[in-house]
Amino acid sequence: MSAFEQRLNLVNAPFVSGVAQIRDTYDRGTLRIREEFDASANGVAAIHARAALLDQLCATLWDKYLAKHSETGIALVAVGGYGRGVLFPHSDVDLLFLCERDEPKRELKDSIRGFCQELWDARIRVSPTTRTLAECDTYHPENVEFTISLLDCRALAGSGELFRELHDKIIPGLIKRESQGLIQQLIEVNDARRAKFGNSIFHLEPNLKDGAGGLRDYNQSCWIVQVLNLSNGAGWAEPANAFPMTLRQSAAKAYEFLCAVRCFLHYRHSRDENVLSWDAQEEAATRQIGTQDKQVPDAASWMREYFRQARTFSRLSSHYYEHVAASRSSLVKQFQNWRSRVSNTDFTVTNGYVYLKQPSAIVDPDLLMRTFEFVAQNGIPLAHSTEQRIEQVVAELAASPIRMEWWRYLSSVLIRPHAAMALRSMQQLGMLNLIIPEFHEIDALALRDLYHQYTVDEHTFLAIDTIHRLQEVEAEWESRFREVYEELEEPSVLFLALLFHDVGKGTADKPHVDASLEIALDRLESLGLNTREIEDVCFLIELHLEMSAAMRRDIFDAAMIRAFTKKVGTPERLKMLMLLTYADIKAVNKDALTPWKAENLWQLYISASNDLNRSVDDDRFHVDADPELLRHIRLLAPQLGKRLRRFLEGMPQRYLSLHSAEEIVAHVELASKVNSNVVQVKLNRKGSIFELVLAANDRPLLFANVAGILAGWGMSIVKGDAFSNAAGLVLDTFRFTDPYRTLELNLPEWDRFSKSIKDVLEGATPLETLLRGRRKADAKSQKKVVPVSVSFDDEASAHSTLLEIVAQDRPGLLYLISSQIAKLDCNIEIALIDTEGHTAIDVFYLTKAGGKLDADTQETLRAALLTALK
Amino acid sequence: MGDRNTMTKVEAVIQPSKLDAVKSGLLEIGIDGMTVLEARGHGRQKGHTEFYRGREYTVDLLPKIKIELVIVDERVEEVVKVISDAARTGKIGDGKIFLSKVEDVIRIRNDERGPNAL
Repeated sequence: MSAFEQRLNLVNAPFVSGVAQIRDTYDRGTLRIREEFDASANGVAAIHARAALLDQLCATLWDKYLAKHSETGIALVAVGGYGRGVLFPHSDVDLLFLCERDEPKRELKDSIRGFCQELWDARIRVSPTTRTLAECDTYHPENVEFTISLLDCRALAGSGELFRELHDKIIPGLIKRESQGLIQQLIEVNDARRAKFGNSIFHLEPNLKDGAGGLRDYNQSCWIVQVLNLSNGAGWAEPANAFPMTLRQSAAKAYEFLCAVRCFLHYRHSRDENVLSWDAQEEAATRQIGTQDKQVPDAASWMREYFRQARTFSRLSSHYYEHVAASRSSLVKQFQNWRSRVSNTDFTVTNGYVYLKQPSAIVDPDLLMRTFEFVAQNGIPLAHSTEQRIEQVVAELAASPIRMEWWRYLSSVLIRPHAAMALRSMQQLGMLNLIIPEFHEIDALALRDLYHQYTVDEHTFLAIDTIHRLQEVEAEWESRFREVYEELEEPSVLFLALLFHDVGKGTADKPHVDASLEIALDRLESLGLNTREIEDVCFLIELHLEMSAAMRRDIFDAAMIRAFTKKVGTPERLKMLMLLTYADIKAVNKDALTPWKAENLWQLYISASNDLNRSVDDDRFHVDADPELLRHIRLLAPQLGKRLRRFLEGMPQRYLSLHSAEEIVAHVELASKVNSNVVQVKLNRKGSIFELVLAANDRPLLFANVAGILAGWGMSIVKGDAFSNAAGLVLDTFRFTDPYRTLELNLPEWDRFSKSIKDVLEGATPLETLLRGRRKADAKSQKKVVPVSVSFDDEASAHSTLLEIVAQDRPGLLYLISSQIAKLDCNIEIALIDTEGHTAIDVFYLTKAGGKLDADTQETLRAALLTALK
Repeated sequence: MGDRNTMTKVEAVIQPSKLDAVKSGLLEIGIDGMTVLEARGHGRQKGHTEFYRGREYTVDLLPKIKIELVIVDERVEEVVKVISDAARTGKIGDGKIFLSKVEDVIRIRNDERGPNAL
């Protein structure tokens, strides 16, 4: 018995049976319990003390009203919370007047009424029920609450024999008979309750009784333990002692915390109030409610404690959910059996949970990470036994250094459709903290303002999930974002940026963006990303608030858009930044991304995207204006000497944004070998995409001829750009796929391919020969029809006319377009080639005789293009 | 009851980019209670058309912010000046301020009425 309880016993003098005295004794006892709670904040002791106080009161009233009916066979039984011996300060008191048989006679009814009336007079909210043994033995699916309340029955007074009959025979028999239906009902009631709170523990003002992660999750777990025990014939259990070892201690701690907080709320509001309001959070933090020996400095830190405890209860509830999974409806079972088809050599899926085929094999770190990869791919949670094994292994791994392969797996997890589920699991089992130790600092970190509904870690997972869920969006305004996502070249860059974008919020001494950037830089080097990808991730983290800030300015102001796009640099980065902003806002709270904001974000995006394509010509690099870049590259490749300055002078800034310093060094080396008629080519491969880099002195038909050669070889161009510097050196990059697998399957063909480019461009072989055979082979019908759009813009550039063509993609399209341009003696100063699905979007900066195209040339070219592209 | 009919509702439709400036201006003169609504609309400032990927996006209703507040009549001119000064760029599309009389105000929490409930 605690000191608290001992002191209460001293004051709880026996009740004297007069109405006024009963009320007075109860009030004094209640007051004393509150005083003890105010002094100690011990919620568990307070709720036990109130139940004990009620026990004494019921005993007194029993003597007064019902002892005289003892020969009729009646017992007073506490059920529900009171049956568990716990009563929160303003909770109802559930009483069962248990009769042996038949309806109670009138006299007995009057006595029961008198009993209850006195409780009401003492301002105790009593919920009495009178039932016979036979009625207790009947299961009513429509009133499952009564049967559940019997799982917590406790004798208070009256016939001990009758209570034993109920406790030892009736209830165990009933549960054994009806366990399937009861569990099904328990799950349905639980699902409905949790759904009412959005199935999330994260709320600005959580309900700590009925909300997810609340006390009801704990009760539900206890009931399931009890039902399983009784239905197996194992007798009554002490549920908290039956919890899995891995959860027992944390569940006990969470129980103490939430009991203290619920008592605090009841006292604060003088009623059965369970919503942890904003003001209540402040006060609970000031009074250190539930924190025991751990001091918390502010309400945000206190809420962090709350979320950690709620997460424990949520996990406990999930564990028992899994336990009873086999009892679910046939429809659910059918779905789960279907899911079991994804089982493989490492994992079995049973009843909707992932089990290890060989649990001992999990010590292999590769299998460990493949487990999370499996979850991310299939969206199936880990079984508790799998979690237990992983927790043990992770604890052992904590002493060893981080393995490089884990990063590769983490990247693989991020791009899979259920990445968020896998990440939550990794965090819960300690694996995420092992790979990114700084993640511990944002674990359950509450920002505590009226805007951020979720903790920082949960916000991060939700943001990642928001991007994956784009595949399912139906609203038109959201499907635009999905289209942009589908265009991304390296989605993993976006996901890595999302994973790290707020990780610095756990660092107190610097702005979170700077801290996140530092942490990301540290960790990304282990990931084996190339320089360009690391730069892109860092760019996204550094500018992750930029579009939100831009939306607070005038999004239709050209100067603002220009300033913004200068920071962004390339269309690919713009796409990723826009999607990151979309996900970041949407994961703040469920109403944060209003259609109004989404529309503004979209408008900003398309204005910036258009500006990026229209400003390339005027925005050129001049060495003297920005010597820093030159210095930086010279450090990497001092052998380049003056060649570097000559190469970079007058190059569009876009070229510099698109290529890393290492790539620029390679381009300078390539360009150094160019002389009057000799062109240089370099062929690279990355996955299914080939990249051709070509350096040459500018000449008529250069671009059209390269496009023609690629068409002649049957290559499909997906992206490309053509830039020239002040000295007239052209640097073209074409990315293409190889649909006929010519290069993929025949390594010697690489040389023949490179040679054919040089031969055509240097005039040794006519292009027509190459194209002749290809035209027949490619004359296939196209399924999707994209309307052709040809538009000119004379305003965008000071020197060139901008031509934008949108058309159905097809083999040889770029050659078709560029040869029409060449036929009219127009020169391609810059080309930006893009393909999205079936749509080709090509932008050309054209000049004719050193100036812009006149109106006649524009019209002639438009007509020629429309005819050619029909 | 004698205090009724001495209050004015101010509804200001402004550029979203001017919200922070208007809020700060109002705060400086001691007004921190207001309702902010995301809105779309246009008056003389017509929309415009933007092309993206060959598709046409016509913005005929422009994004605006609507601020609503109720104040005592004596402060109307001061509030109008603060909003106008903060929201003005001099271009079409700066927005409008609407003033209308308010019959009464009731604070739901304690049934307080009139200017005291503001």
